[in-house]
Amino acid sequence: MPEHLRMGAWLERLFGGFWRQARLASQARDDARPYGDVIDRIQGFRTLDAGWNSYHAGRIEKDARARAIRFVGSLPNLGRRVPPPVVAPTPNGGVALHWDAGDREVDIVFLSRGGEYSVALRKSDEVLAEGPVDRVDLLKDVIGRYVVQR
Amino acid sequence: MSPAGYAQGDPITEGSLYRRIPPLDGYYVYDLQRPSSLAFLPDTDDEYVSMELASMVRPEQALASFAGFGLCEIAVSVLVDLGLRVTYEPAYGDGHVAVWGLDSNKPGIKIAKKIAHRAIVIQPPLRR
Repeated sequence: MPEHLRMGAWLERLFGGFWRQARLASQARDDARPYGDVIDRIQGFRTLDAGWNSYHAGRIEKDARARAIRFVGSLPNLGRRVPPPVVAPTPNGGVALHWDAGDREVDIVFLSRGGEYSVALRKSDEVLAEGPVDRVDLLKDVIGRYVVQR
Repeated sequence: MSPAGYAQGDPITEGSLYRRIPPLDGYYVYDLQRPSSLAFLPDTDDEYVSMELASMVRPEQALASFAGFGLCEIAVSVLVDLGLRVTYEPAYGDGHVAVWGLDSNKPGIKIAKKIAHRAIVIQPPLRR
């Protein structure tokens, strides 16, 4: 083997594992970062005072924030990459997660108890699917069907 | 009695209403230039959505003191066609009305979406 190839192989043995580990760690951080930001934003809703919508919106309830964070935290378990949702406080003290997916939009609203989801066309008011959020596995099915990046 | 001749609780069956849109992510669909359903959900423990009578409040009045907020207009007939009811409720200002038929403790996205798609945008909220 020529000298320069031997040197390359030696460098690969020496630094290759380190490089691969660093790359994997970086990928893991990239994977977690979108949801980390989402979770930070949901936690930040606790600072909204009553009336934040210029009307009589209540404060965002702790249980609603916790339920939304738990659900977002479970998204990596879907096995396929789910883009981070847009998150918003709702006037009735809840947390909304929103995804645009092609010509459709998916909304999930977590209240302190209960909530609802809907899948609708973006350019019309036609609702394709809707229901309560009492079953996380159902919500994951909705995300898997309509939102995941294939 | 209001300047427009309405008393508290009177039904409003014509004209149009204003609703402010918060300058928050998720409240305005910028590529389609319309509010989202979130702008029409009732406040905590309310069974109505607050709006202002366009015949009694100018857009700049509706937005005064609310920097960055957007404003949209909805015909009362649209709300009535959706099965909602509008009454004059001046407790929160001369032009204040209540849109009944949505309940903060019950599912409401579907009907809020219908309102959002029928709203006319007067001013979009400030994009953050």
